[in-house]
Amino acid sequence: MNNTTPIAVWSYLVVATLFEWALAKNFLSLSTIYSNILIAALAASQILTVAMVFLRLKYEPRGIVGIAAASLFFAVLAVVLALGSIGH
Amino acid sequence: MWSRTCFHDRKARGHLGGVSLNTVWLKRWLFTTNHKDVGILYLVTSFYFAFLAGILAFLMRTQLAFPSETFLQPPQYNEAVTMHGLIMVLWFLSPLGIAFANYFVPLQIGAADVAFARLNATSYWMYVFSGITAFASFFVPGGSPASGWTNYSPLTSLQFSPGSGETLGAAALIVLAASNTVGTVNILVTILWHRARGVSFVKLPMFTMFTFWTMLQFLWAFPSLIAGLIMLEADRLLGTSFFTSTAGGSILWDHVWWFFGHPEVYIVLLPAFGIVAGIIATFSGRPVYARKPLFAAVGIVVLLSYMVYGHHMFLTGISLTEREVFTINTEMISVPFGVLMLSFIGTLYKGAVKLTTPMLFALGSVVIFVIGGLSGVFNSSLALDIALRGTYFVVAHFHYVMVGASEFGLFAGIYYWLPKMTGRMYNETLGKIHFILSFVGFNLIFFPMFFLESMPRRIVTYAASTGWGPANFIATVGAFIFIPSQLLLVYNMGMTLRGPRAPANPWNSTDREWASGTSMPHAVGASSHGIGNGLGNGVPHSASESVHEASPLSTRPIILCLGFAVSMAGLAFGLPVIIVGLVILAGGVVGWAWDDYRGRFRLPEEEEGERWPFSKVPKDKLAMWTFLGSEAVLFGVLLGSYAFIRVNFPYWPAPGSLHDINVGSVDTIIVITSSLTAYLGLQSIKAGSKRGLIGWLGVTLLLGILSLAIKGSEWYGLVQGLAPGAQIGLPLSSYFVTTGIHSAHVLAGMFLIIYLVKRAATGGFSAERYGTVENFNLYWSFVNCVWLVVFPLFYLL
Amino acid sequence: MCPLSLNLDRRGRSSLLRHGLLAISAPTADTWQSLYDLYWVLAVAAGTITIGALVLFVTKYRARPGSSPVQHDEDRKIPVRTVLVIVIVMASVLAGAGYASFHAIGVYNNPPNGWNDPNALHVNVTGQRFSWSFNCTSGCGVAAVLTVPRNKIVILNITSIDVFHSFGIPDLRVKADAIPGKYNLIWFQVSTAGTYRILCYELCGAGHAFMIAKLVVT
Repeated sequence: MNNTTPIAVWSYLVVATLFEWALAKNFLSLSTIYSNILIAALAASQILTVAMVFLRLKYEPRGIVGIAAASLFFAVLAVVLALGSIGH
Repeated sequence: MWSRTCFHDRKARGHLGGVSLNTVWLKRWLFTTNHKDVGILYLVTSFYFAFLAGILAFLMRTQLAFPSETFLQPPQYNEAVTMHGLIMVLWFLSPLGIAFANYFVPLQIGAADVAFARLNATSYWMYVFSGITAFASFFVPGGSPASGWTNYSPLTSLQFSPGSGETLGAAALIVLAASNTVGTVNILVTILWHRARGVSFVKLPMFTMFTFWTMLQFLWAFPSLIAGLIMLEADRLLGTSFFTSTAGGSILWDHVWWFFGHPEVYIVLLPAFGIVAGIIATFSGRPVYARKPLFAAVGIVVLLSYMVYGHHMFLTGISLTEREVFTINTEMISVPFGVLMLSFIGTLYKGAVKLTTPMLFALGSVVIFVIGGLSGVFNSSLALDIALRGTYFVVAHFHYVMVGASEFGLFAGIYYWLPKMTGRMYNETLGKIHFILSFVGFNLIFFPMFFLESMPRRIVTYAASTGWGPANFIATVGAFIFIPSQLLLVYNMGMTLRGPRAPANPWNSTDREWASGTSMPHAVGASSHGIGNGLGNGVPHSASESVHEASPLSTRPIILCLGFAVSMAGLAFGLPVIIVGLVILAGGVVGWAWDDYRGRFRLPEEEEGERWPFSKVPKDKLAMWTFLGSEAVLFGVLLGSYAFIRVNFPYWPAPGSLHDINVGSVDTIIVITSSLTAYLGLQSIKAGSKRGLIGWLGVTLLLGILSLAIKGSEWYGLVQGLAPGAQIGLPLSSYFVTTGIHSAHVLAGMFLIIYLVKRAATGGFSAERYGTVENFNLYWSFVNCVWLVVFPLFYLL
Repeated sequence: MCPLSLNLDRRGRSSLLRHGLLAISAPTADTWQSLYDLYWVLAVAAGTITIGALVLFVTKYRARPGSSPVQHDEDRKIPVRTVLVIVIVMASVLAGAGYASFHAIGVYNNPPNGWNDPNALHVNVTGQRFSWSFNCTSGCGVAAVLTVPRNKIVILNITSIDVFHSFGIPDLRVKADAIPGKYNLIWFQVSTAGTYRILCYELCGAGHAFMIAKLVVT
């Protein structure tokens, strides 16, 4: 793999951050809910990109991907179970 | 043969009891990195802690023998009840399982040692110093933690526990959790990567298989404890308000604690059951029944164990839906345990059962577990729990599982493996007497408690009119039988050292650890025992295993751990102590890095064995990924706490009002760029360019400094705005703690960069050897990934 | 709201497997006791089967002196059918037990005329270290003593002003955690006059054992 991919990824990450910034500053005049959904989606795409390329998950054998996925599962589980207890 | 100089040979090694304590002996046990030595250290230390916690139990049962006794005062009783629980669970039961894992997992899978010998010593010494720290809390003003082993906040907050004992206790727990994380990564990588040829995953011996699953629980449960304790310490020391506010408070603590606490129950149980499974098979002369279903069942237990903890919170007012989900999950976790019981009992079928001491303890463990497990089903019901919650029914239940099932199983392991560890036989009659007294004593203590289903837990005394007197009296009688009879075990273990020589495979076991005979496997000649951190200076190890290399001594782990523990204890004793601790810690870390840099501590490459599914992954990388797995849960819990607080808190400031969006965005771009530069550094060295690596690492370091400087200025501005002495509000509490921990990770990464640059400068890396750089990249990008979650959550949404 | 509340009378007074241990009569206590008895029956049955099988095998297959050990390395087949039977039987029994629990919690969650019943006695209960205080419009009691009329539906709104407590009336089988900032509702109705203990079921400090109040039913 040459250096084009990481630089392309970096460019995407920067653009996505700027887009997030613009959304949060409300330069795009979206309603809060849409803007928040977009920010969340952008952040998720950033994390996925970093995980795939800089954390090299795209090139790792299944075992490593398994550890990463299971860990993410338990991290998310902690959040879901905590939030799920709110309400009646 | 090595067995000539085995455990009884006092001339070479100094008297075990310390009569003629010579330096060789001392150096061996202080600086060893050998897995068997570390295993024995773990075993002896855990017994020491059990002894102390057993005394506390003795005091409590004495106090409760009769109504309205005044043997203990309420604060003393609360300290006893708290420390008894904490120490028994965290400093005795799980470390005893780890002791066996250290000693026997490498033997069972045919590995020369654990994957990372020094890290193994590190986790042991962290464990020791954390225990000492915990006990030190008895001697600080205000006494030890006294809020129950669950440390329910806000009772543990500064307002209600003003003494420094709680701070010290929480610090001790952090050190212990760190110890467990290090040990977990080590043993997991050992099992995944160091199996000899022919030891495929499904053929793992029972104990190793159960240990594997247990380690996965350690891995994902303990980060939650660390996160909770950090928040608790921040509340106590920095004035944040995670658990003193009503938006976080008790419910948040419950979530964080039990996400760790309930899997911990199985952490304590599963290694014992691994031992039990193996022993039952050995002494019935039958292979384990339903082996593969058993393997799967334990995996299901591990998965479900994270999804049942809500049964500790049925009455807190959590949503009905979640209570129902937790009820179903908890009831269903009995199903895999049913498969376990089927396997254990099925193994006996048509066997030739020999009732030796280990077998008696193993069967006792199963019988007691059946009772304990069935009583657990009562507690799983959201309706029955209404009356049972917080009563002695619960005390009976978890002691049946933890003392009965778990401790009996571990004791079975001690008797079973004593011949292996010492080369000598224990006294069988004494062992059987120990079993009978333990079994009878145990049931006398805890069975009556099932009928105290209205008596609250952790009360110092009760009135005669309650009618709780007789059951309590019987329980105390049981305790007076059970607790002293454990001295028989200690005595028997001591006498074994002088006992008759054991045959090579006294139990006719087919498990691999017996294939190498029963000699005490270290040949320790005084001449070969010089101190040093290099190869060939230490203890030749693996007497009868195939590889005959030395396992070096290292002074670094003990120094590093001492420093870490002292600096954490400094949370209670003030800044000077923290600084002293950090200096010692730095000494250990630098020494360690120095050893690496000089290539001093390198174990020979082992021949490739079974590594599925990681056959193409270097072991350092596997370790890094495992570690990152636990880090993911640490940040998951921190961010989950943030989310929980935010949803519950009615006055959350709008984006942009507390944190500057522009500054955060600039910071984010810097962070992203540092991921790229670190990556380009890796690409450079892969292409053979040392200068490229150093250059890019330098840029990464600068970007790291820049990012921390930006955060520092933001922090400075926010701290200036705080009212002096007042509690910090929730939005800032979670911001400070989350970004603080993140920044600490960045800082650690920057030290790594300095090390890498130093090593690169002297040609430590090349186009073929770049593993450490790659691991740094993984760490750095993971930390940056976390920032990509933190940034939108705190700045944008 | 919940259809289960319609079953209150039947469930409340039904006495599945009762053995007359309960001296007082309260819907919550009756419901709980029936469920408890059901779980006991299931537990004793399961325990007898399991421990019985273990003891039977250990006695029946004891090694005789001189007998050689049984084969070690025989690779047993996976007993798919046995495992499946165990899994299915256990899962169904436990699901049944869970269903019974959901049924019972319906009684606890649904006072006969709803939580806002104007005819019920509404009491605010506050836990503080180390006492309980009661507060209601109609003079139901003071600190440490809660006085309620017989057969009256009583609805308690429980909270705490300092640390985590747990408010329990063991004889009536009702309990709820008292947590700062949280308001947990329970209800009960007693047809037997008398005095009942109110205790704290969560360690709250040095006075935990003495955080006792009285419920007086007149």
